Amino acid sequence: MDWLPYALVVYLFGIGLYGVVTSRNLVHLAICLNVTQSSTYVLLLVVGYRDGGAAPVASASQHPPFVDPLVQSLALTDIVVGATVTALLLALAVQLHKNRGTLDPNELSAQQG
Amino acid sequence: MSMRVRITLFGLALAGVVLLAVPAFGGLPPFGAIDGLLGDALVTLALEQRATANTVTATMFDMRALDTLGEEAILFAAVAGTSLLLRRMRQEREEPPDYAPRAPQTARRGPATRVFGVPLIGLLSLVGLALLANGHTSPGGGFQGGVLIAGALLCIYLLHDYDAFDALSRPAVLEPVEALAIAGYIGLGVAGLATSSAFLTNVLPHGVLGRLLSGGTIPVLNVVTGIAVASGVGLILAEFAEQALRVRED
Repeated sequence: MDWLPYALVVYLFGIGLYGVVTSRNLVHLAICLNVTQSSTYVLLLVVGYRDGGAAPVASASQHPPFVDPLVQSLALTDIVVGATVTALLLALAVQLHKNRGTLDPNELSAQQG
Repeated sequence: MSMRVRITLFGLALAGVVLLAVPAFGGLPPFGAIDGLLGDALVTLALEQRATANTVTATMFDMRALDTLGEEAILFAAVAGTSLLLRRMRQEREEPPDYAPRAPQTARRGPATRVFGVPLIGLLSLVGLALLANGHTSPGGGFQGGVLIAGALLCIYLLHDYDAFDALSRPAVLEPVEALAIAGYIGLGVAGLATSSAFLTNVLPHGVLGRLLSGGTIPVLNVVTGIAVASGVGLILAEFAEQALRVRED
């Protein structure tokens, strides 16, 4: 069963991208992109996991050996980037809705003046 | 292209990705049995040399502090991009904040909402500040605490009224705060340059593991980052609220 975490990564990646491809609403598209990004968070954490490792914060109950803290800090950076991209996508969606009156990406494909 | 064609192409591409992923993930060390030499080195550095219990925060604000500066730059760019995208267009006008007390979204919330909501705002701010301040001794840190404080700011709009939210989160108030916070981060880095040979060296006394004042520059960078994140996210929220509530077509 050691392949299950990696299967979860591929599943999240695939289902998020499927949502992006078949989306009919720009807000839904931004959230699906978030799901795809969360697959990378899971992959980072899975790569750093150590059997029997404690959470990487030393306290009365958590002693070394820890799980890898480096990939956790990378995942933190990743989450901030994800939130940033979501904010910009939603701002774009607001402006598109104002100018074109629709949030459906299928109806926005034609170039208009 | 039609939806069928799109889904078929996507299915083919995803099959290709899975085909490549199987040998890629298969070539990794077995799950749970990593060869974590770098992680162990970072843990030893953080616990013994930096006296910081939270090794993730130590990694983010000391060993890899330059990456965190880049991350704050990303947040700064996002705030600038959102302000640019949601700016007032030529054919629009922006009403003053007290324009629409008649509009339902800016009216004061009902008494039950305010009675239970305002203490929640205080609680959220306190928890956010606690996460900020104790980011190096327990799970938490600058980003987590900053986001919670920005959430408390949003709750002012959701649970109280828009005027109070606008008074605290308008660009004239939050933009200098964010700029000062990021300048503070860079200033601490330059202090490292001045006393040692590397940008962002940990130059303050390291203290004792587990105390509030330990880890040198790590708690200071935590606080500064938290302020930058809180004001940045608050600015993004203020832009969206302004776009929804105050920008009207001419």
